[in-house]
Amino acid sequence: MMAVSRELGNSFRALIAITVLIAILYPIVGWLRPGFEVILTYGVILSIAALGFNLLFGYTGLLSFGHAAFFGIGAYTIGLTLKYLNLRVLEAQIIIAVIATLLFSALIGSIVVRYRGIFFAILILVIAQVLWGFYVKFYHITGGTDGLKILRPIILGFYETRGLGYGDFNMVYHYYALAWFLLMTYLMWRIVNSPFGYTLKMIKDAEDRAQALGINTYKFKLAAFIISALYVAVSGALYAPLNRIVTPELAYWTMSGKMVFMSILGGTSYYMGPIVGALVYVYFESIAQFITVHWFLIMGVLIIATMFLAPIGLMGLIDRPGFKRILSSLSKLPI
Amino acid sequence: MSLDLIVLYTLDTFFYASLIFLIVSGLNIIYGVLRIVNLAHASLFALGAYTMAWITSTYVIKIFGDSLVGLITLPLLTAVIVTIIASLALVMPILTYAHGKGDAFQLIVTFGLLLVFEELFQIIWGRAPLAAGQLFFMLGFIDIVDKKYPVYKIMVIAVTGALAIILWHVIYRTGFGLVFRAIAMDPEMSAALGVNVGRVVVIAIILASTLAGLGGALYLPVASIAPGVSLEFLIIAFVGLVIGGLGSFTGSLIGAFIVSLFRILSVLFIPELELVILFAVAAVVLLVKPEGIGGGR
Repeated sequence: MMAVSRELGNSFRALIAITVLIAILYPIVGWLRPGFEVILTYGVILSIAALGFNLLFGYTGLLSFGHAAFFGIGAYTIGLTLKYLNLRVLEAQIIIAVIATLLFSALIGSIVVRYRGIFFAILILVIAQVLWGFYVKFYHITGGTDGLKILRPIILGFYETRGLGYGDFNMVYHYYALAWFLLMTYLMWRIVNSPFGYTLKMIKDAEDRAQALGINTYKFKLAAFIISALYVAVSGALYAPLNRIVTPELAYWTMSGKMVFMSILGGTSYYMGPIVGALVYVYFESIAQFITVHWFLIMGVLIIATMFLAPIGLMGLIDRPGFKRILSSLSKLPI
Repeated sequence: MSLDLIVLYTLDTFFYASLIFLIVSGLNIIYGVLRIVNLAHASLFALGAYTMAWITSTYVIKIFGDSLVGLITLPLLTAVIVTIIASLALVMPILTYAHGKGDAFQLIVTFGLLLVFEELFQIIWGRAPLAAGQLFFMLGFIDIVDKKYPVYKIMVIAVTGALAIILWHVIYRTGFGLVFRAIAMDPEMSAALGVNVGRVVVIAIILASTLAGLGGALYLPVASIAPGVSLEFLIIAFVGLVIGGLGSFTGSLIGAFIVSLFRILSVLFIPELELVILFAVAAVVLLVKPEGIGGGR
């Protein structure tokens, strides 16, 4: 269908394969270990955020420690439209979230993408903390640290999920999230394999040269920033109904850290990296929570360990020759 | 605003500037020798504050009662020693490994370290805010133009001022300072000329963590320490770093002063927008003079 890359992490087949796998695994996981299947849904939703984060980091070279800001906008739009407009049609809410994020990220992006490295990373972190402070302080609007309760949504404009049982809702929502996943990953695939995507990679590798060739790198970086923000916001919006509550924690800097970790865990130089990273991450987190409440300690150690031992990430490890020989026979299967 | 209030807020500005200077100068020292902006540096500040709170309220009060000498020397000393040990055990191996590995690598690794510190504090000292204001109240207040001002804050300003002078002397007037500046300028050439770079790095890290730990310990008596404070100070210190200029000693002083001036002003007039104002200041300085006010080596 598309140009097939030699690397598994950058192949369209791998994307199709993982989508099919997520679809099939849900009932299997639920049968093997009840309660663990909903984690897969969280993984699907978070992988959209990680994918957006990585468009900025892996492709454009801008490392953000503040993408929780957009996740928070997505999630809080669901909560606030429900509270003030009594809106429960999820697609309509997501569209509002997208518009809000578009405006906000264009405003912020036009300032922060002028800077690189540490300057970009911290300026965006400041913005995220401003929004987080807003959610905490204006409790009469946002519910403060108690957050906002999210009712079951109406999906696809007509399907009322209120009457469904717990397990049924989770299953319906899983495949609904998977549909969004398919749409967003496909769009991202088109983006990164377009002239626009190649230009972003060029900016990452040598911004000076891109400028010397007459490319307005500022515009490209701003566009990448906005697209990236939109992905994270959609993810945040999808996260809210599943989580059933929206709290300031979703917009806290540790949430940004999760996105960084998911991306480097999977491998930032691969299209599939953040997706695989997010899916592995959610299971890491939920298993670790059996042992300790101090997950962020483990996450911090794992971030350092990943960077020290395998900065290429899981996809990078899979793409090594040993793995490749095994997998090459699989990838030759007609899908 | 009347004169007395202006004097008081000016003193407060100097007080905050002192604390921020203690963080920013450490960030600059580490940046000088390793070219790394350590995101976990404000965690050392928080560690100093936590140690101060813990040692003052558990041991010092029981052993020394309300003896001023005991209250000043022992907690400050302990805080600095604990910070140095933590810095050598946790921060130094990571910084030396990350040295020369590129911006993104260093940022992510030190961000991981920030998470580790934040969570370790919560494991050791819990989530509730810790405070120990004994030192603050024991030193009392003095009259400044009809208003009472805490002696403690004046003491902190004086101590930091003295430290800044000593630091300036060490960097610009001693043999070690010469070597330090040489490494900051060109590490390869310094090594080729026979400078023991590794030793200077260790000393720089000890120096930076001493300043940060002392800053945290001096900060604690006027406030409390809780999860999230290290990030708050990281942001403020970073804005100071940007304003002053990366790797510049005078820049640390200027940046710390300007950032605390804006902080006091915004807390006075529009407290909700404190971070927005700091963001705007940093963005404007970066736009107009990307190397910072004190930068431009």
